[in-house]
Amino acid sequence: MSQPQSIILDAERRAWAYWFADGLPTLTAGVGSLSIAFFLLYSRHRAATPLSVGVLLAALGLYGTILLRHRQIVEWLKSKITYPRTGYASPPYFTDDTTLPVDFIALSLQGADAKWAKDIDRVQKDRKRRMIFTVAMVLVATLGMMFIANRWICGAAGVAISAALWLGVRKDERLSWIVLAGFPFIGFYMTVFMANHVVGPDRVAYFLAGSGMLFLLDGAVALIRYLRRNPGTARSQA
Amino acid sequence: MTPDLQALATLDRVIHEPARLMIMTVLSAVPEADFLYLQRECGLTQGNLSSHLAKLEQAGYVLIQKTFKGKYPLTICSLTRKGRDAFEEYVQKMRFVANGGANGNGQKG
Repeated sequence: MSQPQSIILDAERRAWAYWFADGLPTLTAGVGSLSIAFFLLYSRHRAATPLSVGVLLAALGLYGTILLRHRQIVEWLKSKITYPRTGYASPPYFTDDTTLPVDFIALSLQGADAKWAKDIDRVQKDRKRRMIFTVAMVLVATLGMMFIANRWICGAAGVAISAALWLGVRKDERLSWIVLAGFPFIGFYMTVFMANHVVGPDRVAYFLAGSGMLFLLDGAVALIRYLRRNPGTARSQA
Repeated sequence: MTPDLQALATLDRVIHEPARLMIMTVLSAVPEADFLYLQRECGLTQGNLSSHLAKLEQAGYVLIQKTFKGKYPLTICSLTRKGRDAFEEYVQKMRFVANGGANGNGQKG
């Protein structure tokens, strides 16, 4: 953490990391990636029949549900699988920033304390900047795979996405080596084995499918580790 | 007694107790958290946490809702508006004591 002097920010960071500790958010993201990859591939290579349209709509519906109701799905899964092993805390970043205590503290401080408030403000702005950078890099890599014919673009995209993720989230949470090494692996795998006969949007679809499997693997490893560290006992709450 | 020292006398005693300060700090960082999470984060026993939460609830700083998550009982705790304001004021006073006492910069307007 870049601001170790703030216990509040540290508590916020811990609560955020806690949300991901059981791997369920990553698993859900993996299912989402696989469903949109399936949709892209299936829609491009299957003739439109009532059955195929139904399958496509189901895949799209699954993706849309995960995209729009990610938090609710993860909370439901937590209630069924991991709760009450380590308790529950709603993730801080899903709320409007203005409700966070650091903001109202920042607004009301002056003089020497203003430095502290500015530090907190800087941390939040830095976080937003890093997220925008990560999203921009992923978009550039995706467009590159779609429109640049060179086969090595897939490997470069994998490295770029991995680097963007590392730069984007490393200050807030521990990033799994499975994800960090996995994206370049997917990219170079596509470069070597697929790039000659898979072009355009299909590259993106295959990359998304690989990403989905990567997230599933990472989420499964995190979940198994979590369940082994926290054997299930139904604990009563006071 | 100097005005700077008087700031110490006006600290909120409900929050100032170390265990309750831990609880308030953890709750200030999240919209809501359950009993078990607080227990793990603060390292308090069940009885200790219960009694401190009861005091914070009595002061109107913490809202406690008892529900169920699936088949398990769930005690959700969150800071009330009054609790956030009190915590903000407490933090400001402590900052004032540490940094702003000499020139009065930290005094709340």
